[in-house]
Amino acid sequence: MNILLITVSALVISAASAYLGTIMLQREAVLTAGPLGHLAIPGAALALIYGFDVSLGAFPFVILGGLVIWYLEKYTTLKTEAITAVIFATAVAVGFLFLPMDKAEAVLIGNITDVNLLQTGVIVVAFLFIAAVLRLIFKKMVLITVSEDLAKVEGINVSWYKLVYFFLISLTIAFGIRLVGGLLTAALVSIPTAAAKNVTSKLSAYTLVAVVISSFSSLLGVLSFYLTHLPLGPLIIVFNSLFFAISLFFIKRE
Amino acid sequence: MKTILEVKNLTIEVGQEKIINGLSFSLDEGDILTILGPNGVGKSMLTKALLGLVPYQGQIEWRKKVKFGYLPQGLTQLSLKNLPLSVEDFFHLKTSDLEKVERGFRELGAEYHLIKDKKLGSLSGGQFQKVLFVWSNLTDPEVIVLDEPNSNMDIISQEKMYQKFHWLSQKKQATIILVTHDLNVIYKYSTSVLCLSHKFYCSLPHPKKIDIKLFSKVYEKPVRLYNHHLRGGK
Repeated sequence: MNILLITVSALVISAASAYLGTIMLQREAVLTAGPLGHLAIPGAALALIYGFDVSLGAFPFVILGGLVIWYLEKYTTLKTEAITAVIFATAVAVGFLFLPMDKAEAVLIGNITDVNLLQTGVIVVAFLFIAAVLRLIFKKMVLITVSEDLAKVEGINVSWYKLVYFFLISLTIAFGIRLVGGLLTAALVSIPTAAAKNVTSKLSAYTLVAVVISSFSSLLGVLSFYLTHLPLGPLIIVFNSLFFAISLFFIKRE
Repeated sequence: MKTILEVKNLTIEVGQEKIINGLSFSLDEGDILTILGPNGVGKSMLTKALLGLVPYQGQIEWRKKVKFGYLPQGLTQLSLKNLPLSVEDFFHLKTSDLEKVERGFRELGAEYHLIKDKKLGSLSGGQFQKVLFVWSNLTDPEVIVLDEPNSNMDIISQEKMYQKFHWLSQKKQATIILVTHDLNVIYKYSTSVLCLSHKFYCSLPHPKKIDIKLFSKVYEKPVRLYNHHLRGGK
């Protein structure tokens, strides 16, 4: 039963992360997932100390961190990278002040092996919601990526779509931390999409290939975990990296 | 002709600098307005303000429920080279009617099927500009704002593009706002001209009223016009 719950949870988190990553990679924002993953560490630490779900602890901290970054971007002349570096380093430092060291592994590289039926249900519902909203906003987000001005002229409320997009990233990262930890969340959204970009220049194929690679990686990761009992999060990322390496042989150039 | 746009006392600031200060003009349905002036005088900022893309003071009043098309300046294929987005994908963001897209390319003397599978970022500058032009008038907008649309286009495509928006203006009563440095277009296609210079603005209801003296005044330097053999050239 438990391996089935692990498989389902890993599969939906991976697939939706890759779907989201296809927009993030286009917006060249994929590396923000890394710092945002680190922002979640204080929340995850609190969750471990007080015994509630890591994702539940992580989510408000990602949102809060994102809002602080957004505010500083608006009211200083600093670049996003500089602000993000300050905020995520602070979050990691604060997180490690309180994080019980014996539980640090779960925050850093994830642990979904103790997932129960209720949590799996929540993960599935949350990711169906993420996938459905992504499907609704996908084309508009792509147009915003091409040109915010063109999007606005088409009547798209760019600020609103960016806010929804940020909310989805935060939600995905909060669950991604449960699967692969704060250190590896960026990999979950970036590697399958980067591999897909290597092999196709068509948008629909790009999204499909990214989701398929991510899903296969999580299935192979769970299978390897079952056989070897090595940590699941890093296993999933290693399989993603393997697919990325294979994609290098099929790079589509124009 | 019905008035479609009324601009009163428009001021646009960038930082502390007033780029446009106290500009007023109006436009009728089916007008082809050419905005003319030297670099840095605020032509592109004015088009952005008209489309609500930048903040401004004063009044910009469009007729209610106007549908816009826009070809921006400065959006290049090079800035999109990392996007896994084909030309067909790009048009799918706006319409599923690809026959209309094909027709749009044919009207420019181009073949859609030759570029539809190409990555947007791998097009030539001229091909990309054609994509943007077709995009700008794809869904029958009532107002089309074209900011230097002829950049990188070959002369045949330029002429076909001008004929197309002239047709849109004549047959569909579309209002065209055009920023260009191509003075021949003014005489041949424009119905009105807005001159922006660093020192003054002028709104002329008829392009014939523009002469070399006015050009020199707008560009703040002596201007020479050369005749060429394009049909309708002055």
